[in-house]
Amino acid sequence: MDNNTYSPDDYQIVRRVIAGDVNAFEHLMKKYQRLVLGVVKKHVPFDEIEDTVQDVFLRTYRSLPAFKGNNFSHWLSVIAVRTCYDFWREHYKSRELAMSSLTEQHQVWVEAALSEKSSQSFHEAGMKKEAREILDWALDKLSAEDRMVLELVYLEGHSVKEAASLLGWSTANVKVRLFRSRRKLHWLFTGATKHGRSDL
Amino acid sequence: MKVSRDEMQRLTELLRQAYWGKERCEVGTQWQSSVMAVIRQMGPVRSTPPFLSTFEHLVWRLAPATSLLTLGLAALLASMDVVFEYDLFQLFLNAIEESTLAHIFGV
Repeated sequence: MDNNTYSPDDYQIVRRVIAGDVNAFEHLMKKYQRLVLGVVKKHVPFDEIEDTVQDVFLRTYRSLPAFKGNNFSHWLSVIAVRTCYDFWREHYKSRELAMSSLTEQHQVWVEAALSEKSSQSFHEAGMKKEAREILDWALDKLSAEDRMVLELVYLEGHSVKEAASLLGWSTANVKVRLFRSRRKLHWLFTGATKHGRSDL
Repeated sequence: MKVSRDEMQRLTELLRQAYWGKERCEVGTQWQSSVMAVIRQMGPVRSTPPFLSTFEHLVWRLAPATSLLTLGLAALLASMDVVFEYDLFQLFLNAIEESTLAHIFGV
């Protein structure tokens, strides 16, 4: 996830903050805001990024006494991932039950993506707006837990063990959720094609 | 319509590209200042964790023992003559009630 390992400077700054030098926290914030942004922007909608990054730093500040001094960047990444997970849990609790379905245009996109005829030009088009919308649509159909596991392992390429460490879950739990979410994703795209189930 | 493994892999690869291709996002100095303002308002961080949180790591370790103790107590209660004691308790309560009412109404 990051190249930063143990940094004695970080530990010293943390000690200073705990000793009452609140302003010293700004050094940590400046140093790691890119790392936190990198984590958060992948998991939450664009318009929620700033607030979520702020939540991450506030949580970090409150948890500083619990930092044991071995790899601040990893510790911060864990807080960032768990804050994103909490964001989705809250979001799913308050959202309307009626969920949008794919438009005709999206269905055509999925069929073209599945088709073997999809050429290099289509792969370039993978960056298109439709792809992102379809991905958001599919992720929105999953639970907050399945969504986080799918994003971390399937889309970001973390190992099951890394994802378990970031989320604070057991590897068995991550494996089960991964299997379930992949199966649901497969089922969603099977139904999303024009000739598939119409209840999507 | 059935989606084969290869087709699904192709689609996943495109979605992975879309996932990584999210727009760049930066936060400005104004954002940093506002976060620091909130942190300053919160005041110095507590260096000692709250009393209860020091026992958090014991919760799962003690869970099996607690479950066994609960089962044991349940078995013990089931084997005892609880109904008799309940009747005694009820009798005791009624006695208090009657004497109190008797005093109030001066009977």
